[in-house]
Amino acid sequence: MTATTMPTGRRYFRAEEPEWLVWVTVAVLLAIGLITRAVVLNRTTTFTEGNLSVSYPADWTPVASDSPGALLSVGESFSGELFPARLVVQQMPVTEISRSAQSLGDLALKWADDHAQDRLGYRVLSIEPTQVRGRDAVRIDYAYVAEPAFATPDTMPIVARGADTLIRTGDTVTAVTTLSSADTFDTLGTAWNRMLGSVELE
Amino acid sequence: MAVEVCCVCGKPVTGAAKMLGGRAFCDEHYAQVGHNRKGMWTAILALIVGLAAFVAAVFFLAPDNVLTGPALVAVGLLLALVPAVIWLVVFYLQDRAEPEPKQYLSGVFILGLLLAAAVGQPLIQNVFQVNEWASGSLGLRLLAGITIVGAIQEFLKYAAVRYSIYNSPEFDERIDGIIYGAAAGLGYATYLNVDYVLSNGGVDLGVGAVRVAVVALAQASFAGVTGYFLGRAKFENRGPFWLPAGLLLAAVLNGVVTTLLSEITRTGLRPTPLNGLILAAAVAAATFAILFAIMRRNSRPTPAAAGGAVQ
Repeated sequence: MTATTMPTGRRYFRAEEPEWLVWVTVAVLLAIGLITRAVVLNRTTTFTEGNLSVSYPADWTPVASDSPGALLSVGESFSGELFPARLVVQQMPVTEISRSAQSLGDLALKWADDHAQDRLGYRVLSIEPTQVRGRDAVRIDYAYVAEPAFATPDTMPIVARGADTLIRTGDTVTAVTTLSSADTFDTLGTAWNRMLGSVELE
Repeated sequence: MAVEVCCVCGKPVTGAAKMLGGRAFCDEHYAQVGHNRKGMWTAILALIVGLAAFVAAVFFLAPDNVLTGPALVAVGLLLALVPAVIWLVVFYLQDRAEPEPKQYLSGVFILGLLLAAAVGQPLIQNVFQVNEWASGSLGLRLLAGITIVGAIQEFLKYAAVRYSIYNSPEFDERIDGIIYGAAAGLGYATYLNVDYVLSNGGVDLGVGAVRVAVVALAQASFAGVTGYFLGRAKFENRGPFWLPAGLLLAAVLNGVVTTLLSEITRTGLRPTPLNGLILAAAVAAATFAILFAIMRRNSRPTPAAAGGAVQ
């Protein structure tokens, strides 16, 4: 690093501050971080009821849902977010959504229309056909104005962003809702896809 | 007998070389190496006090909701530059007797900013995607904060100094490590603040001022620690684990303080941004007070050093 008269070998290993040790330190720290990341991302809890099975992050805990009769409603526990990310799964007969809907697209329109009634500023951002483990489905992306989880009278409302994925199996519709504050929804994209990809309907 | 070479300028030392920490110095650089620049500490004090005053002024005096759109973004960007301006201006004013070259100090500041923009934050957000998986328990956030966020941020600030000014003869005092480290830290902080303003389309002036101050104080403190270890390493043989230990200490400080900041400003029933400012100011004051005490102690000549004998 600096010039002295010390023999090269001794200087490199004993007297000087070898640069490679700094790089090794950073590499070790990052490796620990990566291993932690892998452990956290792969640690899931599987919910099973009837023909339905879905996996979600193991540190998520049950949260209140505004969807009566939801089979599953879990969310981030310690995120510090005013509106923690959550996963809600519901199952219902097709006729509960619409008696006349012929296609998944029709069901999605009726579903979005119903939700527009009870959510403030509800706006559909897109309705797209998709697939969940090989099954045809439809995804409704939306946003609305929501009360924060830890609201006080002087807390501003936040913009919530969600995606409802409707999967039809016979006369039953399974609705998988992924919901968070609009600020964090996109950054959770991989986690959402992993949860949705874990949905099994026997 | 081998000729000793000054570890700062690389020139052969005639006669008995002055030795310090196992390194040889020419007379000129031996006289400088332990110099404890008063201007540096005044600038740090001004940064802490000035930012507190600045935040108080904006937080309590700025009218609410008078700015929107591009004007709000423009004012937010100006806010993001305030800490760096305060520090650099006070430092230059205090350091006129023997100033650090302006281009080097600004260069390290800009290097810190560019490394944050081009390498640091893209790695943290897009490659390691820390926000996606490390938002759970306190322990998990702490671990991710140290091993990924802290490691990356502190290594880049270290690199901004180590691979630029460090090898220059202008880096000729131990305190230069802290000076240039703080400059790199403020550069990194400035990018974080600019990014925050732009990604949010502007900021509420009061909350924005608090955030800018918190980030600047915290990042400058962490980098000051790394800079201290760099400053000692250049002029003394400190052993192979000195620099890794410095980096590790800065990364741990970064992870712990950042996690604490997120705890006390974002959890609970209501946001309390001023708590973050108090903590950041306390951390900065404590960090630089400790560094000041250490540097002051080290600036006193030891009997061996004062004698000028080869150790």
